[in-house]
Amino acid sequence: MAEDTDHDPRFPGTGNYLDWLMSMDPLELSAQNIDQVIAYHRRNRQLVDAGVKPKKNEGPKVDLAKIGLASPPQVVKRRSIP
Amino acid sequence: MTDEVQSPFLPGTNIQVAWDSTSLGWLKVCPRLYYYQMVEGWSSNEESVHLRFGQEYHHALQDYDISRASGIKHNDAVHDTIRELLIRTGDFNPDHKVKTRSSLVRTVIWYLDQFQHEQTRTHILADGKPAVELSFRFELDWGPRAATVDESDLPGPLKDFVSSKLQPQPYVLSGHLDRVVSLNDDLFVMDRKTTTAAPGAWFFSQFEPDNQMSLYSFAGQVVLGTPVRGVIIDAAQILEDESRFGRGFTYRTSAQTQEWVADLHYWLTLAEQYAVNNYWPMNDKSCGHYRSEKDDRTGCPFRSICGKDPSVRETFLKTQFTKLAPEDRWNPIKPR
Repeated sequence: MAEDTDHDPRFPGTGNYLDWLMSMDPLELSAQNIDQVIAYHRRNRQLVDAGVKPKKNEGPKVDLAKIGLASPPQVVKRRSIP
Repeated sequence: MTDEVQSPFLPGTNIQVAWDSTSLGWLKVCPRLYYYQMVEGWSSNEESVHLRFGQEYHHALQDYDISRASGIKHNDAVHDTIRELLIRTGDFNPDHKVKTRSSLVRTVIWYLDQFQHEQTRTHILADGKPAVELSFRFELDWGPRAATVDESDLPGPLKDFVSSKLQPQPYVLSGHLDRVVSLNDDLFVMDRKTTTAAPGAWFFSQFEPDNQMSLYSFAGQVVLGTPVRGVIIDAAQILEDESRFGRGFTYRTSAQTQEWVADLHYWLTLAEQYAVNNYWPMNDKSCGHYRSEKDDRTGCPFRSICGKDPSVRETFLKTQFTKLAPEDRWNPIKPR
């Protein structure tokens, strides 16, 4: 039985177990690893069929404004029309 | 022993004698597009991503079909197929938003699961092999005029053996049928496609009529020696986070197939004429309507070239495209 492949604490934020498997030398993958890849995609399909959008591998959230790469959103002041 | 692949052209000319649906499609869409891709061998980098993705997808499904036809159970066949796919694609890391190694693996698994209980059965050939990735190559009963023997050039005794109809180099049709299946006692060619379009009614309507599907129906009949009802098209829509599938049918009657072959006669005569005159006119009404058979692009990739002044086209071609070596160019008789 393939193990749960999502939210693996060994890959916080930037990736998951599937990414790690896919980055391995394919000749080094064990039979269990192959089953894990298949199980991951099958589970994602169940999620899609159930109407759940698969989660993307998002990196840690960075506040761009805090490091000076983006200015905070401006409040638009609308003119009043006489 | 040599692995050298024969050229699809008559030696020393641009007259193509071996044709497949891809090269014939280019010719029908636009002679200039045909010239750039088939004769000159220009290729864009993006094309190679789609081509590799499609090839690996077909290869994987072929592996699965062969396993299943030999009695291996679904899950074991999927396991073996994915293992081989991962090994083959270890170097495949395209810079593409949708067509990635992971989406390829996902699409193969989802497709195989989706159709594991389907009613079609792989046709078994007379030699006991499953009709999977069936390469075909057969001669037509006519050839280019340039290859016709001029009886006046022959020595006297030989003239008696040469009929006026003899063509020493007939045209050849070649290609690969993904799979031949039986469904309710009828035979169909099955063609698998990857696309970014939604595989609904609009998508499937484009195959009636369609050059590739007519050729495959014709080829199926020639190769199998028995009538083929048409083509089943299994389309896989590749999206960023999911893959969707649809199945369409396109039928060809005997009269429709005969008409397609009669039209082919005219198209191949035109191709020879272009080659003899060394001029391939633009079909400037096709530029925006073009849909690539191999990579699902819409809009001609050479539009930006044809839109330039003739004096600078070669320069732009060199910056936007790569001219492939003759052995790397599209060749209908190159084995897969």
